[in-house]
Amino acid sequence: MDKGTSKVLNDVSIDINRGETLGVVGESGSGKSMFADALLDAVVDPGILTGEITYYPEDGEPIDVLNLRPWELRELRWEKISMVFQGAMSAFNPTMSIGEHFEETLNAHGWDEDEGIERARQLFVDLHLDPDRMLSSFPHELSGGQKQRALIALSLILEPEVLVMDEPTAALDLLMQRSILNLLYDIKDKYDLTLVFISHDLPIVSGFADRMAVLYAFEFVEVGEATEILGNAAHPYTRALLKSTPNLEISLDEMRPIEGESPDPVSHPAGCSYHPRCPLSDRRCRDEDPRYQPVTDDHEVRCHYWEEADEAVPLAFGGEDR
Amino acid sequence: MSDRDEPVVSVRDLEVHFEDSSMLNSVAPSWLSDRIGLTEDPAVRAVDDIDLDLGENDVLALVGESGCGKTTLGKTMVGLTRPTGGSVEYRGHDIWEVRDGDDDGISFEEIRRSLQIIHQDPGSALNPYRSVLENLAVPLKRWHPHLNYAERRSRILTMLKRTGISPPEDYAERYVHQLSGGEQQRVALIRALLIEPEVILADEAVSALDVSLRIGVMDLFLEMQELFDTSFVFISHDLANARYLAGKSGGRIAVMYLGEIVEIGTAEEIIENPQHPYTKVLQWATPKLNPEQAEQAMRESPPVRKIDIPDATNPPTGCRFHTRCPDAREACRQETPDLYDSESEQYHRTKCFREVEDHEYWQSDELTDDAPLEESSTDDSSTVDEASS
Ligand SMILES: Nc1ncnc2c1ncn2[C@@H]1O[C@H](COP(=O)(O)OP(=O)(O)O)[C@@H](O)[C@H]1O
Ligand code: SF4
Ligand code: SF4
Ligand SMILES: [Mg+2]
Repeated sequence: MDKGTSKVLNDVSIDINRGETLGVVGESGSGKSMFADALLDAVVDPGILTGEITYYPEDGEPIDVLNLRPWELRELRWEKISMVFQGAMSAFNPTMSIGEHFEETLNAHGWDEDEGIERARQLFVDLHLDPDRMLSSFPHELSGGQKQRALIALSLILEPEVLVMDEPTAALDLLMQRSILNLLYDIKDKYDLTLVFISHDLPIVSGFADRMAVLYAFEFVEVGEATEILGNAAHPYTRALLKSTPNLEISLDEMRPIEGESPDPVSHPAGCSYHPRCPLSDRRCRDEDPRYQPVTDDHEVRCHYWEEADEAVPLAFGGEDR
Repeated sequence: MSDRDEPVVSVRDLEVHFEDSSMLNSVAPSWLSDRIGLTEDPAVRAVDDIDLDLGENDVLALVGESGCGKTTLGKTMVGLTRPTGGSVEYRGHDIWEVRDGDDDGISFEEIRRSLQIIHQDPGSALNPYRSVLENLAVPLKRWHPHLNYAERRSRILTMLKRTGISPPEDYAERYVHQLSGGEQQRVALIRALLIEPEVILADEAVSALDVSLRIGVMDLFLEMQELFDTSFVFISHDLANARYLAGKSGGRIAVMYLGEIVEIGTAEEIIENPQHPYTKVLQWATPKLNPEQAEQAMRESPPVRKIDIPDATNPPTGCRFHTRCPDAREACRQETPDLYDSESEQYHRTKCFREVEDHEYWQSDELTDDAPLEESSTDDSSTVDEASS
């Protein structure tokens, strides 16, 4: 393979349905942040984005994201599709109050400030934050969990339809992470939101995501309804990932690490990228890249031998009843 | 589990308060700073009222939210932080009396050698631009100065081999910055083990790793624990990790809240039979793999009345959890519960009135929040709740 082009996302194809919560999970280096950037054509040089990304607004014509003018893209980014990135702790300007951040965003997009601040207050209440205190606070006066919620409120201030979050909670403790997910779960209908939540931690989105997409080595290897991915995973990697997850439900001896290492972008294996680690791999897996196979109507997997995966990697909640 | 007759580390009435006002000013909002100016005790009450013994070959997992005092308690147990009240003893010697020269039975150096720490970020203890071998030689030079180069090298290679690294000669020559996070954590563990300590404190040693790597690293810690008969204090904000570590080693889990241990017991008891309402909150927060239970947990709100943890400079009166506890009653605001023995065959203690059958708690009125947000603006304040804090 050409050493110069390292693959960071490869032949990725996915639909995000209006009103759903999509959990995108992939471990370090699987390409998940690249996916977030690609969604909004924010891939930095020298990255090259090929293919198409179409945004279907609730009212109006489909939008070809990759062919937007810079100002159109800017409008799309806040008012249609909004983003909360990793490392949000530094997203705020330390010399500005939280309220000033809201004013600045509203003014920059020509929105009415008073109406906007009223909406901010309601968002704070819905995120269990005290509006008066929030608006007058400076970022350093807030805990990590409060800052993160304030940032989510800010990203919703221009009433976007889609909120994309890239590891928004990874720096917080588990209780705060799950509490924030629980709040988002509670408000998403009220604000008519489509959520895309990207994480390295598959279990963190359990119960939160309606659908899950599992990234391995820059490709989605399995996509489907979340209950299917948790209870009836068809890809050997997804199953191994579930088996390696410390949890409170399964006996300790059933938890097992995944053998081997994830591939890096420059040494992308031929055939199925999981073959060096897969207990089911054979010659076909080494030679031939598997295509998507339907498991159910809303569950696809990229594996030649997915029907044998449950026997090869048995799981306590693994559904032997396919 | 452990040899309770002769603890290695023993902590009594422990209290660690931080008076550092510069740190305080940087995290406290001004209205709070103003208010603090009026109170008598502006200290952060990081750890309060803790009694704990760590035996030989013992495993203890400390769990709780960020800012609840896990790191402070851990560091105090290994002699890195000086308590402001109570005592920490190493094999019967008060660590800080030894340090001050008031106990000649043992040297402070020997205590420091016996009690080691591994940080969340393994890189912080290692030099990234030196080889694994050079990094591992540092503690040997310090603690075993009589060894020559060949002896040091052979000890290091033996240790690499014992931790399952092969071929060790290759690995020893690699630079630390070339290693993955999991491999660095492994080297940090080996570095601590080379000093032959009796206790190792591992602070969030697996939290930053990818989920799929955690079991592997925890298994290594457990193997080494057994191989070297070392006692471990593991810190984690994730109950599932605490369960794995304490459960596999027959150790205990201690749940901390705002500087206090609120529940402690065998791993099995804390996971299968949790009693304290706060422990149940941590259970709620632990993601479920069973799809039905996962959905149900998300439909339920967290079993707390408030999401944010109160400020540790001014912890609530009575039971410190009463401002968030879903079971709180009037009695909880006024009186402080003891760590009562819970009903069980196994070791299990819980700091909650609900453990006491005839406590007046049962007769007192439920606590409710009339205006939760109003209250939170005066009661709660900022806390540092990054997992890495
Ligand atoms: N050196 C310090 N100076 C002042 N306050 C501190 C210091 N270290 C910790 N604290 C405070 O003590 C409390 C407990 O902190 P810590 O022990 O780090 O908790 P955890 O490890 O559970 O996250 C927190 O409120 C924290 O802000
Ligand atoms: S295609 Fe082959 S190697 Fe790839 S996951 Fe399926 S069985 Fe394993
Ligand atoms: S003593 Fe009261 S407030 Fe404290 S945990 Fe028990 S019921 Fe809750
Ligand atoms: Mg800590």
